[in-house]
Amino acid sequence: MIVYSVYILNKAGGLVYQNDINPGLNRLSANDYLVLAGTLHGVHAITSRFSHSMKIEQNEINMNNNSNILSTGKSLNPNTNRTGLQSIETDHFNLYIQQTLTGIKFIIITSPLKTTPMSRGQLNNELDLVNYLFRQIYILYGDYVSKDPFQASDMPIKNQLFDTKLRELVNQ
Amino acid sequence: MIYSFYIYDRHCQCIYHRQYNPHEDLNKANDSDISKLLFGVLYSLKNLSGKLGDNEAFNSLRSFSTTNFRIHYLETLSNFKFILISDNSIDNLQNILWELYSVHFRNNIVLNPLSPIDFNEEIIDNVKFVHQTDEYIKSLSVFN
Repeated sequence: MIVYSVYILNKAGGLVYQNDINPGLNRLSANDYLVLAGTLHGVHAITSRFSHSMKIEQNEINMNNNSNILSTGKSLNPNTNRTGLQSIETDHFNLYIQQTLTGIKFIIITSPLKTTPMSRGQLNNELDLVNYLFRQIYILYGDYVSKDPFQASDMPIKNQLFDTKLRELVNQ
Repeated sequence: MIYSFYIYDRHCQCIYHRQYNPHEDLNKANDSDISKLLFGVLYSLKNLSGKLGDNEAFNSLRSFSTTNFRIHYLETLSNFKFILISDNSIDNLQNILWELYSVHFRNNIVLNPLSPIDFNEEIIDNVKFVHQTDEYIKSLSVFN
């Protein structure tokens, strides 16, 4: 799995960080990236309506999560993206959306996984890998962005240290 | 598990909706909010993947997922959109969608002189098509 890009969206759906780490994606204009971020934010909100209307049991997931929090005192996974859009698979890339408790979305775009027809669970294994990566990125975000005294919340992130650490993490 | 099957025509109209799980339904939700939202989401994501993908060849959307389900998507050259909704452990149903189009849809709808070329507000209620696609989808190893 090659990570092409990492984007960060603030809670209003604005693109606050963009790092195209490895080549592989088309370059767009700055305006198009903003549109893209807005689209993903909107689609994410709409897909969570599907889940409710399809009446698929959500209680079990919530109960498992709650009992986890009660027994360990902390949430095991910082990803709170429970009902919204989680991943997109296309011919040229896979895109993953992870959300933190404060509504910040981390978008990770990777090389596509070749799945064989009718296979089961390959994409979910890939998702676990991306989840791990997300946790590491979130740690970096906490260390280098949140603790940066000059960083206003919900504003574009310009932090060289974060850039290099992220690049190191993804390319290792 | 496969939940449902949708077909949209090139005028954004849902011309066929078949629900399999948890209960069976035929063409009950063609005009519902959900079917319209589904079309809108697929339209946006298709645009997005076309823009962001490498320029050399057209990049087509295969599927997207949430925690609860995965939506598989195939668009034909004539702009019919075939959609299967399954649980999210099933990775790839492209060949199934292609089979539904190239065999069942072609034989019963495209080659059928009685079926319209443009579905203006019409829906597919061809008994043979419903029967054959049902049989095909229910025979899949991933159906249940």
